[in-house]
Amino acid sequence: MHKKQILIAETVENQISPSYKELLGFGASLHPDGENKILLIIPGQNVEKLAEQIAIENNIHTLAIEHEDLRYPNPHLLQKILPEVIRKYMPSYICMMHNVRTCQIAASLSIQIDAPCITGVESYEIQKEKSVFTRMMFNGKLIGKTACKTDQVILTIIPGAFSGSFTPDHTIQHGKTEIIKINETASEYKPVRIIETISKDNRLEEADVVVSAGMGIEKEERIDLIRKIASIFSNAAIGGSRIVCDHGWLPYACQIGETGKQVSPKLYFACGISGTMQHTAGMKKSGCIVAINKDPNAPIFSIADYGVVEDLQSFLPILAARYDDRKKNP
Amino acid sequence: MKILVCIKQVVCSESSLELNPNGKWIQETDSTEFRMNRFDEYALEEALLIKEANPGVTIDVVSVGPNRVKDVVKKGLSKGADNGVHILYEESGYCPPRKIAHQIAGYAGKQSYDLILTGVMAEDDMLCQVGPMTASLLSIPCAVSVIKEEIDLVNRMITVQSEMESGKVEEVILSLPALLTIQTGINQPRYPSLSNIVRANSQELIDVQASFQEESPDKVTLLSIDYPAKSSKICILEGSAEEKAEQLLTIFHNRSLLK
Ligand SMILES: Cc1cc2nc3c(=O)[nH]c(=O)nc-3n(C[C@H](O)[C@H](O)[C@H](O)COP(=O)(O)OP(=O)(O)OC[C@H]3O[C@@H](n4cnc5c(N)ncnc54)[C@H](O)[C@@H]3O)c2cc1C
Repeated sequence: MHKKQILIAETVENQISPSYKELLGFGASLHPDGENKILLIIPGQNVEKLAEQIAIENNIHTLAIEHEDLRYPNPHLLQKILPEVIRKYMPSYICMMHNVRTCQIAASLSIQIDAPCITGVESYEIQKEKSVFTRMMFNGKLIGKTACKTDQVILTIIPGAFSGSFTPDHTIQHGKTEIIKINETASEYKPVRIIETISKDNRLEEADVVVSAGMGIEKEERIDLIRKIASIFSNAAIGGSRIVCDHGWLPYACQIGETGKQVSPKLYFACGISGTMQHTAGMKKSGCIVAINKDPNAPIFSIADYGVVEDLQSFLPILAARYDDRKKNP
Repeated sequence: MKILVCIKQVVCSESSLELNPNGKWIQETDSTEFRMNRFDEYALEEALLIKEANPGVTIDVVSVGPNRVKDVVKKGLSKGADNGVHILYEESGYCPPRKIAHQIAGYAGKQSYDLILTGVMAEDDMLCQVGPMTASLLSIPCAVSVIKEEIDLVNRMITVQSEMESGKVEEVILSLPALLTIQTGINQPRYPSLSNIVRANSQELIDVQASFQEESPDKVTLLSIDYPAKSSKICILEGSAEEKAEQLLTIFHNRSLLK
């Protein structure tokens, strides 16, 4: 028995997101014993050459879908084009790497082709010949196991959750590339431009220690506590969760996570951060993670190396005072 | 211009969550606290800002669920929405996005809204699906994770900034009617005003029965929910606060990180 898979890569201005390799690895792992038939779809403005190159490198079939409005990820156009491709190929799985845009593609496709859709998959197992997918819920405080009743499912996969690498299938001699050039335009959805908002300030990336504030600080004034703690380290920078930056308590240049900066310091010190996947996407590669949270079930503790279950309002001043004591009486 | 804001009532995830006996959903007790999904607060605020900036805007808020979700609909009114709609969906336990989207689209399809707003994600199931599914069902364009928007009512267009990863933002122009999912940071949600609280308390909600006609059977089943495993490598520091502080300083010192 073989299962077919459609994997959909993401391109921005004809540059493919490198995570397509992870997607290939995930695709291959879905059906390790059988013959895996993979079709990698690469939408973009001018991506035929790229699709050919990837087909040869990985011995897989690729499909380039070209349209000027696909120069950025375009969920609106893709939900119109993809159903026909899917009907022809009849895949069991349609997979993308997870982000808000691919979630949009997944959800709208789910309506268009009437197939179930599970976004944010972190792991899976086979139970009684059915795939069961595990994902975060309740801001990460619980995990849910989900299964589907059909043979076709749309998935988005959390980056970094699957480490399986892709070994090319040698039963295929040469990966073939097909191309679809789209003519129709969708006047109801017009991509205009991409704006880079991230600051070029590299202090966060270069710091050995990132002391990070989450909503557990409760008040803007407590940023001073975070600054005080940062000052005990020889090379530290201050980071924050998105919500803290949304409140204007820290500038957006300090935001760590999926939509902020990705850092991997020697020490990441998370103070009052719950630890949803959108935040941990930006810091889980840190050398050592220390988390302070008053909730012993906070999801940050499932990736931390050291956990302190305390109220930071009382604990951080104690930590600072103890440090000062040590300095005075070494 | 008519705006619909779709809001979800979620359980406060800061409180401790208990599982129900079959482990398929959380246990709802009298003390379970609910609130408006954080992301939807921003969607509602954005609608209110649009109303303040443009004459002749009306805002409806809608929520799908059992009777307890009337509370968030009222909350929407107390923040300044004009009408509150409750689509009664009595199923206990988990209600998947496809079902919610079918109910919202079924209602919205008859009302000719110019703009539909909702939060980018629900904090409970974290799927980010209801918005795009509703747009697809209504065949209207959709932009997700919106952090800025500008309406051109004359040409019936809306220019939005839609967030991508790592600080990139895409500008997209949609024709109206359109659906936007709103990201945090776009505004600062307001608190209810006293006069609106008074109005919300007396104003009747528009009660709608769920319609199951167009709903295709849901093919995704949530088998179980559970607490995540603690990281196997984690060391939870024990002792008094002072002792924990000392242990931390030793860890930092041993890694040569301290000044
Ligand atoms: C598309 C999308 C992209 C996103 N991108 C990002 C991103 O890049 N970065 C990001 O951070 N988030 C991002 N988010 C938001 C993310 O989902 C979370 O909402 C956010 O990270 C939560 O921030 P927080 O941990 O500070 O706040 P909360 O979730 O409110 O957590 C506060 C924590 O502090 C603890 N606490 C409270 N009081 C105290 C106290 N006195 N002492 C100790 N602990 C206390 C609580 O137990 C809780 O765990 C994104 C969301 C979406 C939908």
